[in-house]
Amino acid sequence: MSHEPQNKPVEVINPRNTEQALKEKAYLKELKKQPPAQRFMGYVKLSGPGFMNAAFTLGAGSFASSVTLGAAYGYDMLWIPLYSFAFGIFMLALATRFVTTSEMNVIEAQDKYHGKFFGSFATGLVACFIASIVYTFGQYALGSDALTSLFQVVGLPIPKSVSWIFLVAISVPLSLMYGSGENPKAVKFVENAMKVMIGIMLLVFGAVICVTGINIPAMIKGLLIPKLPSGMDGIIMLIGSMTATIGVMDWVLFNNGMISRGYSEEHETLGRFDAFFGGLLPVTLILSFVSIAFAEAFSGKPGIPTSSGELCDALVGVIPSVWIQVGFYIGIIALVVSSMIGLSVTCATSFYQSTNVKRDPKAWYHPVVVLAPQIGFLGAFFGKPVMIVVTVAAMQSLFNWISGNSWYLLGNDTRYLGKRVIQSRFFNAGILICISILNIVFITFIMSKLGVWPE
Amino acid sequence: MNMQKFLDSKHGKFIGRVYMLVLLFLCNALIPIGAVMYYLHSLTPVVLYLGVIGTVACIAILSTPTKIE
Repeated sequence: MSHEPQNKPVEVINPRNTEQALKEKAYLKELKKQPPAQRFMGYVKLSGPGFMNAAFTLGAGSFASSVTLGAAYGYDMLWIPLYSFAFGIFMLALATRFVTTSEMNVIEAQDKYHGKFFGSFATGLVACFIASIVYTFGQYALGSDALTSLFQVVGLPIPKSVSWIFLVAISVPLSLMYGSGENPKAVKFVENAMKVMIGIMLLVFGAVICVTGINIPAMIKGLLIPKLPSGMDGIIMLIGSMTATIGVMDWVLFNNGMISRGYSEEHETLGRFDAFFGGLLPVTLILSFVSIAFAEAFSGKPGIPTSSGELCDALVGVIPSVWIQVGFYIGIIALVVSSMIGLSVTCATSFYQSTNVKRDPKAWYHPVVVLAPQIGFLGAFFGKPVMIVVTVAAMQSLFNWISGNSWYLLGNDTRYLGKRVIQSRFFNAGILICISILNIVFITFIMSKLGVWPE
Repeated sequence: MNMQKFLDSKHGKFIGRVYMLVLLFLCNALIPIGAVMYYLHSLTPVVLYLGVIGTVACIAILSTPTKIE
């Protein structure tokens, strides 16, 4: 009879050394020699963290912003998701540089070179860990609403107090699979599930605008020419949309997604490709589709509802096909579930990286950490805790630029990146424009709270 | 003085980049403050212009890459 030691130390596998990561590395070396079309297809096949990021960004916050901006301002505000993600892409490229250059994760590097306030506290605990728990309330509130409405369309009277269980049933297994991070195949499976959910969103919201109609010249103008909304409500909506689209949580999630996949130096081009084609493109398309649908249905009309929930119900009322009505709600559910998975993953990784607690997927506390944001199911009963959400949004707004500055300094620090420190003025300028936007968002937020922004 | 050398060497407790980031933040703050002064209170647009010019100048300086030895 063999006696296994009871307290066997946990073997931490470096994702860079897994068989799959090494295979990918060799494949990428070969891919660099291929013609552009083949290289493109190869990168599409390997993409993943970018889609995770897109799926995470496309949540209750960005959806509600797109709905209300579309209904209130028509096509004029389509530029917001495109521009905010486009500048945010420099931060994602910076995250790629960190992961592909050093094995030290970025929060640890912030702790080491700038102090624990910047790393563990600002980036890890406040901007990611606490925020990921608080923001899940909004996902449950929107998701359970959409599920109940979906059941009503097909004649099943299932209340919100029950429908949230379906959200748990879908999001919990996927969160645990990705959150364990020890099995690259499971990570890839969840990434593929995210791709499917993004595909569903594109399809169903695309079908909705086929019904509502689309004004192509107005869409191009709205996407490319920035126009500021007037009045306090418009500015608050603008700030909300910009922070909902890209912020420190998105950078950290993308960063950790690449770590889980074992990215190394050969992966840098793939990371940038992924940020653009997996992140920017789907996010802009889906949020634009949503805005366009609501712009076409409501913009310029009197007496339109003001809340995103009422607007959704009103939009469904003008969609003649039951199938498209069902599809619209399925799109919202896909959007919410994918965001919930992203929030769980961010919660777990930021917790481990910010505390001294060892990341052990077999430990009793691991599922508790991964599933901590699921406390947000209470959102299905009580809605969003508005005061907490506003407080966290304010803190995040502050910590977004604190973390942004710290990341810029790390990108220019030879102690962390050695010879792979940023050598391009363009790259640095993009990061600094992103930081400036975050600074201005933060200052405007404070000014709006002080009541000095114009009505 | 060589800009790259200023940015990457210590002046007191911090390197030049940190001081420039603080200056960038202050210039960024002038933009919404100047906008309120100009558009709401019909005061001088100088603060707004200073904010925009200062932001562009700070970004131009801070985008200087670190020199690899």
